[in-house]
Amino acid sequence: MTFRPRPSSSQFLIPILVLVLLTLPAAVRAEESPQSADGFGDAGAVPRFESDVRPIFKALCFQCHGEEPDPNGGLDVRLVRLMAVGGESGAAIVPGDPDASTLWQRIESDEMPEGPKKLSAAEKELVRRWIEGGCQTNRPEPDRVEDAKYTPEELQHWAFQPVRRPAIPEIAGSQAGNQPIDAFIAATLIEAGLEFSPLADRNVLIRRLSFDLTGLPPTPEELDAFLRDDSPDAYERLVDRLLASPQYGIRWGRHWLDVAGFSETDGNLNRDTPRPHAWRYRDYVIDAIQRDLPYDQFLIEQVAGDELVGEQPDPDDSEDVRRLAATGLLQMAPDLTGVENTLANRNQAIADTLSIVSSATVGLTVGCAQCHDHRYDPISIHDYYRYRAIFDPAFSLQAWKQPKNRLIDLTTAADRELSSQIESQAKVLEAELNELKRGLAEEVYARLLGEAAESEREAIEAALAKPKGERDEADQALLDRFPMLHPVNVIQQRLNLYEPKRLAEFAGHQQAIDELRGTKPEPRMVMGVIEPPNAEVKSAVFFRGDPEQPTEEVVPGEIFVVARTREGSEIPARDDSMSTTGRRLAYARSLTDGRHPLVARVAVNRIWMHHFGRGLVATPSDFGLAGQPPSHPELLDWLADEFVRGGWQQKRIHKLIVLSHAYRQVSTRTPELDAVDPDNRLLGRMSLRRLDAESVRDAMLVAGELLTGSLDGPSVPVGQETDGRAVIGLEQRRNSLPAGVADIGSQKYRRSVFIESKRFLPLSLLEAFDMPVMSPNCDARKSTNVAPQALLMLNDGSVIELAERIASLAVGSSGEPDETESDDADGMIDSLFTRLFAVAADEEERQWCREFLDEQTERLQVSGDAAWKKRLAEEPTTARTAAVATLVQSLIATNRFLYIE
Amino acid sequence: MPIMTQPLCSRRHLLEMSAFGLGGVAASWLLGRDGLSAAETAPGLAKPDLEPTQFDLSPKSPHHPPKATAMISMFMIGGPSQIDLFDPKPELWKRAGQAFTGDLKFDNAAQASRQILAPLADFHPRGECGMELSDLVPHLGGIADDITLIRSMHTGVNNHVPSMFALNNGVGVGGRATLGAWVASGLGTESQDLPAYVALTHRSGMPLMGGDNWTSGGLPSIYQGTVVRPTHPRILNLDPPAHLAGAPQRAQLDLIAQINERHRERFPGESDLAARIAGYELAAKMQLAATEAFDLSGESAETLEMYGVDNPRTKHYAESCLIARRLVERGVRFVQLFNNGQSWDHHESIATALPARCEEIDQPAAALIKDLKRLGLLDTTLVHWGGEMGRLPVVQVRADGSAEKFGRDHNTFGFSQWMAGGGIKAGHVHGQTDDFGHHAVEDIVTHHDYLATVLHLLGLDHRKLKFRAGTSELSLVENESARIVEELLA
Repeated sequence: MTFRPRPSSSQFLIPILVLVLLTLPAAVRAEESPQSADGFGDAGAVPRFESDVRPIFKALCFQCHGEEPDPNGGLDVRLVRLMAVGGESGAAIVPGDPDASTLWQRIESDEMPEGPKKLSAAEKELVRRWIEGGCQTNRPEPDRVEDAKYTPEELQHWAFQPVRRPAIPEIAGSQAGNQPIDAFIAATLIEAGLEFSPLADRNVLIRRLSFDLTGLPPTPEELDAFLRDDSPDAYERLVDRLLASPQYGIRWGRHWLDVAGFSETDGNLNRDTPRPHAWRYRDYVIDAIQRDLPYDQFLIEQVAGDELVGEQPDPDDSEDVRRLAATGLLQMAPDLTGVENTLANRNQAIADTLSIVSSATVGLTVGCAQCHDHRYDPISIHDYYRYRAIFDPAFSLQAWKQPKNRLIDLTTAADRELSSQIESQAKVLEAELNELKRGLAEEVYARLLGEAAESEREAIEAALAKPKGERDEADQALLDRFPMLHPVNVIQQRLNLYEPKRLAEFAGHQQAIDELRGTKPEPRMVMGVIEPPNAEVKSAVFFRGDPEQPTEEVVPGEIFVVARTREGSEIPARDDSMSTTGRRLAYARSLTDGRHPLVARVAVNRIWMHHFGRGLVATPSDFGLAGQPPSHPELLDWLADEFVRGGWQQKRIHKLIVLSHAYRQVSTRTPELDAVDPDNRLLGRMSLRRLDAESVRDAMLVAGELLTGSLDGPSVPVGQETDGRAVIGLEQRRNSLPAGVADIGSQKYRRSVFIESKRFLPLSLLEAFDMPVMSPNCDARKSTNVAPQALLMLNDGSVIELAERIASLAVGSSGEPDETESDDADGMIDSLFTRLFAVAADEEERQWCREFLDEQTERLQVSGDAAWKKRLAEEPTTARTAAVATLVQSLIATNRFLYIE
Repeated sequence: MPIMTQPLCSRRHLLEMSAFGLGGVAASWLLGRDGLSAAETAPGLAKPDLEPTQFDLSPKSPHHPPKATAMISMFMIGGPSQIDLFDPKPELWKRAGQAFTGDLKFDNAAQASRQILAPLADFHPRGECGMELSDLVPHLGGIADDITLIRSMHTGVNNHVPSMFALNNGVGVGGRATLGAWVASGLGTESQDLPAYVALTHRSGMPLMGGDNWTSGGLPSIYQGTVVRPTHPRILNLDPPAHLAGAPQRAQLDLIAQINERHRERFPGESDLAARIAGYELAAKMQLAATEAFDLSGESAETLEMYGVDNPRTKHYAESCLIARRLVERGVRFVQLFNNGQSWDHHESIATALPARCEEIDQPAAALIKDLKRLGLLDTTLVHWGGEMGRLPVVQVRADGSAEKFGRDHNTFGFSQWMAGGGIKAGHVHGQTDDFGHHAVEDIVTHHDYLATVLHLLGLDHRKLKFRAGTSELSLVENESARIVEELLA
C-alpha cells in the first residue's frame, strides 16, 4: 500500500489572503461595547447594509456566497434583495426578525462562516440590529449584481480621490509662523486647544538633523562651527550642507532599499544563494537619491528602465547601464526557483515582486486580491491579474529564467576587447603547453609500443585506432596484454599516471596561463530585467491564485479604483513603436502623470514618516480602507501637490519639513499635551526616537573616526563565527559548518549600508537593533527593547573593540593617560560627550566621569585573569587606558546615545 | 519543585518587565497581543496599525487551558533507524538477504540495493505496557510506561533539510520561524531572567543548517532561540571579558544608570526609556540567573549518575539534558537539544555507529524523563525525542563494496519518534508501518499533525496562531488538513 503525501507548501512566503491586524483601535476591539460609534456607525442609529454590514460580509462571506461561480447553498449575500430571495434553504433574512432569519441563526451559532474566522461579538450584534431594523440599505440596490461590485462608500474612500491642493489655513498669532506646514499643524493643534512646543536648542537640533539627513552624528568640528555661527540662516545652511553631503544619499537611499526589499541573497532552501551583483541596484538607488533624480524618473527607471533603453543596451553608455541597474527593483523578491524551479515558486516570486512594487509606489495591499477579491478594498481578483499582466511579458511563468540566467552582461567594449586579447594570448600559451604534453605522450606511446614484439605492433595500432565497440575479440585479447597502452590522445589526458614527474615540470606553464587569465577585467553583470522582444503572452485570472488553474483571460490594466478618476491611464497590450510590449513603460508613465491619486501622497507620507517617526498616514503601505486615515489630510494633500509641482524633487520637500517649527520643537512631553494627545499625532512636540540599527553602528564608527572605504561597489562580506554570531569577514567552512571568519582589514569600517545583507544571516549587531529581514520588503521598521541588546552593549567583542578605538582617540587628543592632570581628563570627557551626545558634559557629569575613571583604573589594576595581570605588568598605563574604554562603552550604552531628542 | 507559580498574565508582572522582552510596558499591555492571534479580532472593520510596535516576552494567556506549560525537544538530526530501534518487523528477520519487492525511493541511487537487512538488534517487550523496543535502547525500555511511541511519522520529503524544517517550522524550508519561536511568541515565558527559548548545541559541532534551527524567521527577533553552548561561555555576550568581570562592570552599570536616570528626568512619561534602564539591571540579573542555571554542582551524585554525567561517553549529552531540566524548572518555555551535524545519518557503518550514538544519548534521555517525573514536572512538561526521518529496510553498500561498512538509506515515509509528559498518553504505541517498516500505513502523523498537536497541548490553537510580517501573514501550521492527533492525548 502506498501513501500519497499531502501537499506541503514549499513557499518562502504565503500570499496574504486576509489582512491581519496588528492592533486595533480600542473601540473596535472592545467586544463588550458594541454600541461604539467608532467604525460601526452611530451607536443609536439603525445600521445600513452598505456602510455597516457589507464590509463584514465582504471580508468573510462574499467569496463562497457570490464572488465565485455556483454560490454555496445557492445563496448570494452581495445584495439585500438576493438574501431576501435566499437559496436552497429559503429566504436568508426576515427583515425585522433576526431569530426567524436563517442567516442570523447560522452566524450566531458560528456555523457560518466555515473555517476558523468567525464574526466577533460586536459584528454579530451589528448584523442582528441591522436585521431588527428592517435590513435597510442606503439607496435602492442596482438591478445587476455586477453593478454592486463596489459601493459608493468604497469608491469614495479618501485615498482614491484626486489630490486637491487645499488653501493654507490662516492662523492668527505667533503659532503658525510663515511656514505652510506649520500653518496646517497649528490649525489642528488650536482645534485641540494645544500649541507648539518651543524650539530645541542648537546641540539638539544638529544631532537630530544630522542623523535624520545623513544617518550620522555631527563631528566635533561640525558641532563647533554650528554653535559659533551667529548668522540668522545658520540652520538653513546646515540643512543645505547636509542635503548636499554624499552621506545623505546613503541615508535616504537606505529608506528606499527597505521598501524595495533590497537583499543580497535569494532566500532559498539550504544555501540562501548569494546575489553577487545586487549591489549595483543599491548603488543606483543611492546615486539617484543623492542627485535628487526627480521621483517620477526614479519610478519610471525602476519599473521600466529596460523599455527606456530599447532593444540594444549599449554597455558604453552609462545611462543605459544605470537604467538597467534600476530594474533591479523587479528582481529583489525572494526567489526559490534557483533551487526548486517549480511553477509554484515562479508564481510566488512574481507575486512577491508585485507586492513590493505596489506597496512601494501606490501604497495598496494589491496582493490581497491574488486569490479572491480584496476583503476590504475595492480591488477585484480581476484587477489583480490585469495589474499583473503589465509585468507578465517580462516574467513569463512558462519561459521562466532562473536567477543566474537572468543577469545582464554589460561589460564595456574596451573590457571585452581586453579580455579577448588576453584570452588569445592565453590560447597561444595553452597551445604551447599542449604541444609539450603531446610530445611527452608520444614518447610514452612509443615506449609502450616498443614493449610489444615488432610483428604485433601493426595489429596493436590498428586495434587501438578502432572505436571500442568495433574491436573484435582478437583485437581485445591483443590489447588486454598491454593494459597501459592507449591512443596518444588518451595517454595525453592521463600523463599523471605515466609520467607524473615530467608532467609536474609543466606546472609553471599552467600557472602562467592561469595568472594571465586572472588579469581579465571582471565582466560587468547587472541584476535587472530585460523584457524579451515580441513576447507573446496570455494573461489570465488564476482561480484561487493557483497558477495551475488559469481561467478567464485578461488584458493589462491599472487597478480600476485608481484608474477611474483619470483619463489616459489605460495600458495598451502592445506599443507598436517598440520591440517590447511597452506595458511597464505605459504603466510607469501613468503612475507618474501627476494626477495619480496615490503615488505622490504615498511618497511624501514616507518622507514625513522618516522625519517624524510616523507618517501622516500611519500605515505607509496601506492607504486603503483597512489603513489608518491621515492625521492631517489637508497637509498630506498640500505636500503631495507641492511635490509634483516642484518637479518631484525630494530634497525640496525635506527642506520644507526640516525648516518647519514642527520639526524643530523640543521632544519633551508636557501634561497638557499628554492629556489630549499622548501619542503625539497632532505634533505639539517632536517625538523621542531610538537610533535605527545602522545608525547605532555608524555613529560608533564616526565617534572613533574609523569610517572608511568607498561609498559604492561590492558589499563587505558577512560570515558566521563558530559560535553562531554573524560578523564582518570572509567565512571559512569545513564540512559545510562554520570554521571561523577571516579579517578583511579596514573594509570592515565601511558604512552599514555596504555590509552584505543576507536574508538568513544578518550581521548580529544590526540584527539586535531591528534591521529588517526582507520577506519580501519592509514598510516600517519595528523597534524592540530587550536585554540581549543590553548584554551586547556590555559584552560583545565588536562593541568593546570599537569602544577601545574611540577611547584611544580621545586619550590621544587630550594627552591622557597622565592621570594626575584632571584638566586633561575633563578635556577628554568633553571630547567624548561631544562625539557621542553632541554636547559637552556639565560639571556634575564631568565629576561622575572623573570619579569613575579614577576608581575604575584602580579596580582594573586588581581585576582580571593571569593574561590581564601580565599586560598590567608590561605596560603601566594599561589600566587607565582600559578605564577610558569602559567609560566610552558605558556612554555608548546610555539612552543619551541611543535616542534622538 | 516547579518555579512556575506566577499567574500567567498579571499586570504587575508585566510592569516589572522582563529581561528578554522589555516591551512598551503599559502600552503593549493595552494593545493586547501585538501581532499575534489577530484572527480573533474583528476582521471587517479593524484597521491595522503599522507603527513600530513593541513586543515582549511577558507571559501570555493561551488560547485554551494548556496541558503542558513547557516543552523539551531532543531533536535527532540525521534520521535514527526506526528499523533497528523502535519498529520491529518479523518479516525482516524472515526475509533477511532476500530482495525487497516493493517501491523504494533512495537518496543515494548509486549505492542502492534491494537486499533486505535484518534489524541489528533484538527487540523485547518493555514495561507493563509491553512496548517492543530494541536492545540498543535499554534505558528507553526502562521508561516505556511513561512514553508514547509514534511509529507512523511521515513527512514525505526525502532529504534531511526539508524534512527537519518540516518538523520544526512546518514549511520545510529554512528561514521560517521555528516551533520554539512560535511558542515563545504565543506564550511568552515564566522566567523573566532567562530566555524564553533555548537551543542547546552539541560539543562536536553545530547541527546541520546551524542557526536556521532556532530562527525567529518573520517574527520579531526577540522570539529567536538563544543558543546555549556546550562549553563556556554558554550564552554569547552573557559574560564580560575577564578584566571587566565583577566590580568593573558593576561600576559601568552604575554610571549608565546615573546618566540614564538624569536623561529620563528630562523626558517624563517616556516608558521606552524606563524599560531600557531596567534592561541593564535585568541583564545583570540574567547573568546571575543563567550562570546559576548552568551550574550543576548542586545536583546530587545520584542525579548525576542517573543522567550519566560520570561516564565520559554520556557526559556531554547528560549535562545538556540536565541543563534542559534546570531551565524548564526555572520557567523557560521551550528547550531544544541538537546533535552535531546530521550524526544519525548512518548511510554506512551502521552496525558500529548506531550503537555508539545510542549509547551516548539513550541513558541521558531516559534519565530526563525519570527526573522530571520524580520532580513532579513531567505532567506539565511535554517531551519529544525524534529525528526528521528513519531509514530503509534494505542495505546500503558503499561503492567499494566493503561489506563491514554497510548502512541504511533515508526514509521519510514511515519513521518513529517518541513523546512523553504534558498531556501525552503513557505506555502507548501509536500508528503502524507496513510489514517492512517502510511506509506509515495506519494512523499516520504528518509534520502538520505533529505541530498542531504540540501547540494544542501547550494551549495554542494552530489556526489562530498567526503573525503579520510586512505584507505577509505567517503561521506555523499552514496546511488545512492538519489535525490534532487526539489518539495521542492522555
